[in-house]
Amino acid sequence: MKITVDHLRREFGQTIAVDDVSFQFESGQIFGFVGPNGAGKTTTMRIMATLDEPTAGDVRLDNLSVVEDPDRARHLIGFVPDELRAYWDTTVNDYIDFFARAYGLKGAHREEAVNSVEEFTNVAGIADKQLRVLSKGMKQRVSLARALVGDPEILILDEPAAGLDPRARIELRELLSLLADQGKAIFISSHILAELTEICHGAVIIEQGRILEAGETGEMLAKREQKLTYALRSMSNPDELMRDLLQMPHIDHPRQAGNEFLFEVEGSEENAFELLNLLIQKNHRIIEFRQTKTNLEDIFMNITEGKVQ
Amino acid sequence: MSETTDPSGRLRRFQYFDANPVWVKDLRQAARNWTVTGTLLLMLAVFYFIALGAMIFGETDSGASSYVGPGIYSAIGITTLIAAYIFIPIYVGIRTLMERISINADLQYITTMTPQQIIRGKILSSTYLIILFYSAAVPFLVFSYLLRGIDLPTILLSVVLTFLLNVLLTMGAILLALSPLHIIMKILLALFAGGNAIFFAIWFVIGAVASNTISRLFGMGSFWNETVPLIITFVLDAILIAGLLYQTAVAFITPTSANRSKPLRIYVTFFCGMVVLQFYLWAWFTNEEALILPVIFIIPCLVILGFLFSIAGRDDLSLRVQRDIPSSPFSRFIGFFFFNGTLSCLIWLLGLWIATAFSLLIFNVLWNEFQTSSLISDLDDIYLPYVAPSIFVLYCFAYALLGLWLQRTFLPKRTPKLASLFFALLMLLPFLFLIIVYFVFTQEMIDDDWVIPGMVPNVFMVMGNYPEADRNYGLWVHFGSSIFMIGIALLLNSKWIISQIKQFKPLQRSVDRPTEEPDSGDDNILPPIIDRG
Repeated sequence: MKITVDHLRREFGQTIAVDDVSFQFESGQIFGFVGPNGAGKTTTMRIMATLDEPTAGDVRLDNLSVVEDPDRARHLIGFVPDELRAYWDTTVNDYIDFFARAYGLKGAHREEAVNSVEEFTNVAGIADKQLRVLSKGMKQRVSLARALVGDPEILILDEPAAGLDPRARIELRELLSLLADQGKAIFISSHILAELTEICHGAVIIEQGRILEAGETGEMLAKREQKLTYALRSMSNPDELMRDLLQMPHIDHPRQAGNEFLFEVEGSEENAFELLNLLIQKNHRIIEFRQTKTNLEDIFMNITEGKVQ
Repeated sequence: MSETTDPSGRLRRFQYFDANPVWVKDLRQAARNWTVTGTLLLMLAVFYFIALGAMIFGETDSGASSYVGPGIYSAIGITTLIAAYIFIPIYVGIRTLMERISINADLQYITTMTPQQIIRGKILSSTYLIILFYSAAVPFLVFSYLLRGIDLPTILLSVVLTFLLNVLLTMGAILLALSPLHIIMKILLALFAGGNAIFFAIWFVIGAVASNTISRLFGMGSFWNETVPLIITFVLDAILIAGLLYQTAVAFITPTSANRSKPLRIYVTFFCGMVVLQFYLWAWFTNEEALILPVIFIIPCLVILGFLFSIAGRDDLSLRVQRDIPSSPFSRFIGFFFFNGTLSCLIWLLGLWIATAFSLLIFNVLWNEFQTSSLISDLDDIYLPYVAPSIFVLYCFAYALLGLWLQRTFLPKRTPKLASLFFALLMLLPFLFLIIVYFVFTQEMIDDDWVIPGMVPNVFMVMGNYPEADRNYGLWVHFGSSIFMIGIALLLNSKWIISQIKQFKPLQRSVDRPTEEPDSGDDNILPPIIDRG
């Protein structure tokens, strides 16, 4: 199934939340949706999930229009919101069972479906617990189970990793990879770009309601092949090193990431060698200088020119 | 196809019949909620102590035991009323409100459940709760029969009466919780309108039981000619109002992109027809002409309320609505009045009043022809039943159009709810301004016999003004000025009106896109996690 977002626009009074947004992805792919707060990610996702209506444009699931036929589109979509504000007196099993009923599953099939998603998302052990006592990570699993119980073709996840501990993040990542392997199209927004890099086949980068870049990660990287990213670790004064890096030729977007400096070098590796020489001549005490793999974070920083936090 | 013809197929479908999901969820939640269990147990404890007290103290007073029935019946009845009339609507209202403002409402709406299913589930679960409370009370009420003084038909009828009112109150709470109002407005309305409705319902039921109205119903001279029609009318009215509350609640939760006006407008048209018919029938068969008066009060009130809400809606038609617009000119003309759209709603509402006035005219002619008394046979009598309500409706139509023009012209990017605010302000502010200015300059209130064209509150003054000739003159002035104001408002809105009419056409597609059939529910029974391992 191909999901096509076509010139989507959403106005709230005088505010344009989403402006001419277009991209596409398909079954078996995980697509990341990247952008700062207020960029229009949630609005776009709500429109895709039939929860909101665009001012203009459309979202098509193959040839089925989400705007014209939301009732039919809902059979194909599962939506996981950023937070599960749970019913205060419902158990995990009752919650998932309710949505199974709501999706029209009946009798023994419903029971089987509920049990299987509980097992898949690893919430079977807490099925009798009330939702209010669950941790954030567990709630996120329940939320995923709820979205999966209707067997959607497309899964839309709005900031599912926010507030999760590292273990829960890794588990979520594994679950999503499994679902993509099963042929589901997954669209996921996140602030944590490193998370997305490892699982995403492609990304959509949005800022102030407009698409900055969209496509498969490979294509995006290919566009930037003429620039290589390097990491540098030094015992010199960081401010002085940054000042010198900014004055060096062939360097783009130098930035500090922990105890490292990251930057892109235009042209061939010859330029990188020249740069290292210059730094040593300026008496910087370099202890590590290595080429890194360009990831989604680099692409994002590159596209937004590091202005967006 | 085979399932519909094959009896085993039908049986299989019956086997897979499932209760409404919202019903199941709400009842599961209620079973786990300590407030429901606590209130029910508290109510039973109170019943127990009332019964115990009646038994102990009733027996000490020899000879009085045979009259304990009414006392214990009232005590148990009032306890039930307090528990069921206050607790259940508040509980259901709060739950629905909490659900509505959380992401869970969204999650329900993106399932394959329809808004109708969701509302039906809410109503079913709240009705089940009411039945639960009443089932606890009925044994105690019947116990009062054993103590003499209250007969079983009275008990049965009063329970049915209180149950129906209880269901209506709870549906009202659901409607308020789902209404597109700010939460503070909802709370205020719940406190004032809801509180008054509960108080009125309790007062009505207690009054009916205490004054032996229900007992007297059974003792009427002609049970079949008087008692039964009264009971049927009450039950049918309750069903009609329940239908109105249901349709409105469904419209509230249906996305604005759907043609949510259609079922609501069809039902309201039916509702108005039934209300009018009911009063005509009662007036005709009891030969009481005063029974037509509620018609000229209820319908204009509904129409004016409709004006207020309709102008707060959106003007543009969504793709979903455009797709459903009929292509044949006649169906399109009829469809215009029942599809989304502010102009169509205003005209439909005005049409409701014109149809009511016309039906009144026909009824009037038939009455004068076939009844022994005469209804309105003189031109001088037409003012109160025909002209005065028409003036209110016409003025409000004009103000609605003016409010609409102000919002759409000067604040088009702001919420259309402002048009409703302008409508209300235009009706009241000029009159208040005039009173204040007049008072400041003359230190006196304006005279009662003044006719001030263009101001609705002045119509009330004119209606209370005698002699009749002056009153009639004043009403004609207001009638003329309302028509004049409508003319001005139509002129100001002419562009908008043309655009509203022009946009009402079937969806034109440049290229016909094939549409994909989604998976049916039956194929959708097992998640791929199972299928694909």
